[in-house]
Amino acid sequence: MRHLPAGLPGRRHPYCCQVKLTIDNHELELDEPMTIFHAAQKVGVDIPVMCYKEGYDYFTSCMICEVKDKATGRVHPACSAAVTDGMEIDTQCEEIRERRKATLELLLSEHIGDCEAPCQRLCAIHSEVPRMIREIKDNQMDDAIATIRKDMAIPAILERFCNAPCEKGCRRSAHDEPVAIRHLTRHAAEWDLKRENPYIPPTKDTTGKKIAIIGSGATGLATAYYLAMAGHAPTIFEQNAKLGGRLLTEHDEEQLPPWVLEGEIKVLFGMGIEFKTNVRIGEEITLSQLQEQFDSVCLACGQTENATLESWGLEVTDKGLKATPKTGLTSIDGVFATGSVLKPQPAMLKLVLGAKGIAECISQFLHGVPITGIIEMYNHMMGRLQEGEIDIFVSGASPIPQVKPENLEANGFEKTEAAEETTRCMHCDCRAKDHCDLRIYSDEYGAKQAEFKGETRAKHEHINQNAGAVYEPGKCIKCGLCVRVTQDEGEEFGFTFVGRGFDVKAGVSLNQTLDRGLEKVAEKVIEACPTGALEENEKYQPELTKPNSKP
Amino acid sequence: MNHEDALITKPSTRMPVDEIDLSEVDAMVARIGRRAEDLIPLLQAIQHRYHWLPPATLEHLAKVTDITPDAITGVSTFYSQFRHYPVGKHVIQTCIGTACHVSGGTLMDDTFRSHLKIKPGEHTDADGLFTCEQVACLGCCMLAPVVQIDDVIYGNVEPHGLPKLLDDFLATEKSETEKDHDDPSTGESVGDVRLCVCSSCDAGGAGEVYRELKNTIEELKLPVQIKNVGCTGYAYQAPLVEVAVYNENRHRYGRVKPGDVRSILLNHFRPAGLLTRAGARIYGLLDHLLTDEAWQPPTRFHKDVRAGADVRTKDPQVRITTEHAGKLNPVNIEDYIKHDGFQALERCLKELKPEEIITEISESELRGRGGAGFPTGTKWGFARDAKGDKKYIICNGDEGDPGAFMDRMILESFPFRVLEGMAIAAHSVGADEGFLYIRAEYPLATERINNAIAICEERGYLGTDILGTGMNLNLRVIEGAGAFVCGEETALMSAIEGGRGMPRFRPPFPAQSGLWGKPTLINNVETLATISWIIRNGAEKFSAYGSGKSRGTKTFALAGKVNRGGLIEVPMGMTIREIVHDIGGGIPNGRKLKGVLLGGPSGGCVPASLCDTPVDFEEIKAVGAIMGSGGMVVLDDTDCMVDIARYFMEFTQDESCGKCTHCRIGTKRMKEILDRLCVGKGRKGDLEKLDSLGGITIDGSLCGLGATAPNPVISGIRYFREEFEAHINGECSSKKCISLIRYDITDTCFGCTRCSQHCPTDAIPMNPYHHHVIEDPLCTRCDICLQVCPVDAIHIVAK
Repeated sequence: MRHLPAGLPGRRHPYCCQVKLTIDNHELELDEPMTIFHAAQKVGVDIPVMCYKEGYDYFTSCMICEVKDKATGRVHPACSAAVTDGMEIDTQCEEIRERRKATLELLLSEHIGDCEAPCQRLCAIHSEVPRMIREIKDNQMDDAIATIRKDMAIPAILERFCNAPCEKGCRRSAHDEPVAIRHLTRHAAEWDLKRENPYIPPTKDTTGKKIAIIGSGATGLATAYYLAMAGHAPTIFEQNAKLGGRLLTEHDEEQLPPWVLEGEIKVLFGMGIEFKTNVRIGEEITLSQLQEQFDSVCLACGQTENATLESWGLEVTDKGLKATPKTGLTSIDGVFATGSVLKPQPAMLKLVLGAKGIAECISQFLHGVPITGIIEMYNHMMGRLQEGEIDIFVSGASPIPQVKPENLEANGFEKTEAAEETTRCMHCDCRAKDHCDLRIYSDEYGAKQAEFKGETRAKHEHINQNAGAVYEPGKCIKCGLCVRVTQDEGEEFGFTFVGRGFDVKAGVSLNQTLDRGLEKVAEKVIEACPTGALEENEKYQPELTKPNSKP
Repeated sequence: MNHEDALITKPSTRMPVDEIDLSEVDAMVARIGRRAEDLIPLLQAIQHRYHWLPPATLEHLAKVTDITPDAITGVSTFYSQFRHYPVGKHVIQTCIGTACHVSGGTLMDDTFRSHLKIKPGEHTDADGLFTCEQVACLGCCMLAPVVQIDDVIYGNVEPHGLPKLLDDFLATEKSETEKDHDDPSTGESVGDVRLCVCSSCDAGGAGEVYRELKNTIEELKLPVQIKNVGCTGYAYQAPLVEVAVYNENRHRYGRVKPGDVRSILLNHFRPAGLLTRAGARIYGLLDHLLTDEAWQPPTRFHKDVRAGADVRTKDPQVRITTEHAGKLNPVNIEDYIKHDGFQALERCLKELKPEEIITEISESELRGRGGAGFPTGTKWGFARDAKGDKKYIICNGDEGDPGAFMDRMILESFPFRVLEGMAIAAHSVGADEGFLYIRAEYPLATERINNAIAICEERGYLGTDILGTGMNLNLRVIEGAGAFVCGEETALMSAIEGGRGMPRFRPPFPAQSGLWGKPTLINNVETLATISWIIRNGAEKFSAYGSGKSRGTKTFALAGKVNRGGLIEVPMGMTIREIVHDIGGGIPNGRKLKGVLLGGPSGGCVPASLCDTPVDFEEIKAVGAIMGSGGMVVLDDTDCMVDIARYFMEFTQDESCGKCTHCRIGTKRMKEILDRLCVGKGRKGDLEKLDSLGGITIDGSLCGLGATAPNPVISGIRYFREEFEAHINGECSSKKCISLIRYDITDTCFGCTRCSQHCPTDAIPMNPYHHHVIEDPLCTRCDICLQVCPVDAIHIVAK
């Protein structure tokens, strides 16, 4: 590991050794020259960097790594500035956090692209649609169902009734018709339930917390699902003999075949959720008894009269059950409510969304942290497409029209039909959305996309979108890592900066093609790129990881 | 070799190049070199040959040199000089420097384009005859607005004169096939005719005057010699002819036209053969000739100001850096030696130890004249103390500030003085190799320095074993390729090394690790030109001038709305108002002083109310401007501060290297806000946004360009807030922002049709003997109608 950044060829930090300093109150004594960034690493302090990468020269361009020396009041770029004696480095003070936020906001103001595709963003429960579509396309059905169930409870039920805002957001509709997302999801979910052993989503380490859920309709089932995923132990109480609540009364068997409902309940069983039928609150068991036996209670009992609720000991208003709007907390501590018990809700997607949110609130309550509900991660938005841009998107997908077999609503897609439909997806989501430094830091520092919004947006470009390495210049932060990597590794053409000022671009030397510029080191360059500007055509990482965080 | 040969640059004949012969590129490589640092000269050679950089030549370079493709693409797209598109037979470069901007220069490019029918986004007219480009600053600010066609510079241009100007250029081009500049004087002379042929004077028409002088003297066999002198600094009068009859007073004639030459000569000298010289000065005749409107080439701005002989009774200037201005022949080393030249160097080499020299410079309290004001002696000390067997010295002549021309004039007029200063500095720090980095826009300066280096080497003032003391110093001129940011020292070094001029993080400082990693001393032209005087006259005498921590004198390029612009040198501590009024002669056309722009795009505007601020690094900073390198552009009450702020922001935004986030994006966003203010689309909160963006950009930028770029905006808002606020409401009180005004014809109009004839967009229908009307949607606000109207019937009103 190189501690001394070499700077430009032949240039060395002239500082002599033996320096004493503090970094976030950690005391350090160093006898070799090094940068503040590397010194901080020694005491386990992570300083964010984007334009610097271990093993390559520092460049000092992005300025995200700024830290403050409290001894002098001066701000230094930690990736390039050497430690000097007597420094008192603060890496996280308010001033520094504000500066980083502004730096990010400037970068975001010229960033062109979506983190998550419009379909995923518009899906209330944030299902990672594009990934699922690509998995179906590649016939990786196990992965596809895992992707669906990561965010979506009871998909086989939901997709029969969902109003599919994802399809309304699908960019393909600007060209012909949206991708049939709902049917693709339904296809994967039903394929799964028809198997002998359907996919059981993984649950987090058990917390030992028990939650009573009242009602086994869509809301109750979904709430139990999300709570079980979070490692808790939910028990569903149903007043009738049969599970399903309103799902049984409002839909006939053609709309919701029994095997679908049974299949989804089977998955819930597989996750360790308990069910108690023929139990009525206030009769077989009281709410206060439930409170005693469980760590938390969630009312998912659908529309209920005020008198009944009052008899259970809950406060009501003339509009119904009294509950805090965002958290669903009722007048009784630890008792939450969601779904139609709060407000009659016909849209099933909204019910599942409510379940997902309340599960998060209950989890937060059980962990003793502030109850905020789900906070979405920073999500960059490209906004309305400019003239001609849709063609760039379409050119990356199959030009065929939407696949529309007869009796689609009754039968769903056949396997080949589904596979064909998936080729229409234009991959609007960013290939780096799970590991992009710009997104991760923007989220961490609360940066806002529109703070320094420009008058105009440059045109979206997508170079090589059907080959190995994909380049989207609009996502480039001009950190020059691609330039340094191709230079250092002796790529014949490689990347260089083209032009200067605001319009400077990273591009392949002498106007060569991207493939020509990345003959030897495509992988290294893609790995070094801190954003989604240069990516491999597909690149998945299961969890968001911070670039500096230790394993 | 006669180094006075090429005093006036010849217009080059451009031949369209259809076929590219790569063996020519091979020849260039053989002549220039094949290493990384040879890249910029190679690109310049290719462009000189083809007028652009054809892709085939660049690909060939990658094959036949050691230069990597990424360097070729990166460098050739970084510098504004390089073109990646073919050009027409002639290139029209419109100067958009500050002085030209406030004098309406920005209209000029539009007018050329509309006259030549060049479509938006294109550069060349349909016939392939002319290509239009903008150039950051030609350094001829007192002749603003200025246009350069190929190598010919035209000063004081007006939009309605452009068609004539092009005709003039094409006509002159034909007749310019042969010319030489031998001194025509023969026999014993009784006096000198001195003519400055610096770039400014040439732009004012000095070339033609020179030819006329030569022809007339030959024809009349006058006993007179023509002497080319360095610039007097009275460049507002260019071309300036000074007549010196030996043992008599000198007489200066400003704004001389070729037609005046004969009268001027006859006024002072008798043709050979006649026994007596004219006893009386026939001023009346001259007056008549000078006001003669019959000769009115498009190159001259006709002003009512009478120049005549300029004899100043009181001149508050102090000439140290520009010592002997107007007397010294810039290309004649004998003349320089006669005026104490090289005494200082000799003393330093033979009598003083390097430490003693550094002490002397430290005691003089000389501070870097490039703008930052770092103590020169201290800098030399760092470079001397740096360990290393090889050290470099660099003279920073990358004067990029639009509206500044001190370095150009010093290099053109005092080349030997700059070289002497460099030799002393090199000796003091132990450097034996050095570079003078000079802007590409200053070909005459480059030429004179190159010649001066050759002469000095011949005479033992440079090269090996200087003055027999064993000291060696090899100097070379590096021509910049168009990048303001290269004035920053780390960017400049990167440019010399053949790279993109992108600043890097300091430390290490150049004194520790500079060019190719070796200790390097970088000083500005003016700083170096001051050294010899200090050594000759002593630190004490230098520091006797000045105020506070700013000692000695400072040169300024005085331009803009001032009667007498030019290169001036004043003791530190003189107030801005004294400079504007006592030296500059106040504001022309009876307008009021609004403020003075100091420090160009990095500085700010000192409002009239604060013009009693002395020129002093600290005092100027305290009022929100900076000393800068010395650009001083005077504004009057017709100048719009929002427009000025927008102008500077556009400049810095174009010139940002694009490296740091804050400078690259921050300046862009600020410019967008200023753009919309200037077209009346400002929003509430825009000023606050400008302020916060300004603060962020200043704090977050690596080099001085970004860290000072918001200054003109911030100082503008500080002193002229109401003007900015008015723009949010769609009003431009100075009637400058073209989207917020319209042109209107009053009842005074008697229907002469001149406006209609001159309107380039046919926005005024011809209607003889009737009141004319401007069709606003067609009007481009080119201002031509207002200028040509004989009865001042055209007015600008708020839209």
